[in-house]
Amino acid sequence: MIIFYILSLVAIVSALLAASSKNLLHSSLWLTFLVFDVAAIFFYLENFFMSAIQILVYAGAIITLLLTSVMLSRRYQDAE
Amino acid sequence: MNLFFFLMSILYGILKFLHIDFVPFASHGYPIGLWIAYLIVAVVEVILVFALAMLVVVILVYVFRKYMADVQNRIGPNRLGPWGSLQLIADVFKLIQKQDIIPTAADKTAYRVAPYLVFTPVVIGFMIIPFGNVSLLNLMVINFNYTILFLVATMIISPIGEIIGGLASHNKYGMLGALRAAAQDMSYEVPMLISLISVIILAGSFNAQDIVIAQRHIPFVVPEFLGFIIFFLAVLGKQVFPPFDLPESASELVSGYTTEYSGMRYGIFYMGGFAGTALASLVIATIYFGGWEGPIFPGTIWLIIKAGVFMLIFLLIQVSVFRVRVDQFLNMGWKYLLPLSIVNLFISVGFALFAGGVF
Repeated sequence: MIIFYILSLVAIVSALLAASSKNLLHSSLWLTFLVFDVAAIFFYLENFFMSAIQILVYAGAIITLLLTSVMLSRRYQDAE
Repeated sequence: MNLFFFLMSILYGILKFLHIDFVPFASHGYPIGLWIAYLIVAVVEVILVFALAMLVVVILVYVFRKYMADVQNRIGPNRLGPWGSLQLIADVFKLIQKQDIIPTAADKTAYRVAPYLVFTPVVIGFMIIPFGNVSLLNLMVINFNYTILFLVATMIISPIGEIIGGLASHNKYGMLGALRAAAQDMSYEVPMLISLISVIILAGSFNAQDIVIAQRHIPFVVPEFLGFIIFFLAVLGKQVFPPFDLPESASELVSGYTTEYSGMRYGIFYMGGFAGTALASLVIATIYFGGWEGPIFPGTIWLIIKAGVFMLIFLLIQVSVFRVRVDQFLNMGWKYLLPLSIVNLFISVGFALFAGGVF
């Protein structure tokens, strides 16, 4: 049970950091971390299907699209 | 029986014999009593799998360098060890000793994270491959119902590392490489997953072990030939080698997303690429060519032979075909592979409905 609480705490902290980070790239990195953490929570709760789908859909598709749009955003290019 | 529970039960027996009492693991559906034994077995297995992955990478890089040298009329590595076979180990030591350069303009955290995002998932993928059956012992580190989905998930994470690496370098070539990596990534992932779904429909299971057992009469490459071609091309697109090495193309983009990387960080990218090739050939051998199923020899040898043939085919393609253009690759992905994979999905549904008992 304690593993579940640790994973949940990590998820909450990384979600907060993803929302509050000023740097868009750091924000999306924290979001990636959050996605894997939620997958780990599903894995711990023995819902393997949801865990795999979490990685495939969120990490595979959504994070890639998000990073592409970060790359094209004005703020990221100005920071460079 | 799983390899995990086999090692577990041996350790459990030893501990019982020595009369050592431990705090029981929080009961959570696992048939295990001792958390220390659980931890030891887990650590030992992770180390074993990591060693296996590194061994495969070392052999593959050596074969690749020798073969490429042969194709280009050179001798290749020939100084260290018999036929230069220790050259790669010396190279790794050289890379570790190199100065760790991080560009001042780079985003430091993301720059450090990116190589591990490429390399770690591939090693995790090696845990899920079914390596064979020795009587009742199932040579597989972890076994649960949806292993094949996890295998593909591990193959899909690594492009994120490439994109982040290119973005974090704050270099225009790195940026272009990351853009190309993103475009390429999206165009091959969808056909790859759809052709995988048709295999799952034929096998009737998400478990890699069950998929291998379902091919004991006919390998899935026979009813699924179209799907095999699609999966092969998609997996070839995942490699960072010619003909589809667009994100890294040395003649246009210096080195793409790895431009700013040097020393061991570049080494991790490089090893991640070769480990990805090895994992891809193991996956193809498992889901289309019957994995460890085969006559006479034990199963593991069959898997090694089948995967080895694919590794050699990948190397052959890599040294003999020139690079395609970006638009050609994207056209191939979206205009040809995607519709063909949907056609293949219908074909396999037909097979499953009308000839379900055969496969």
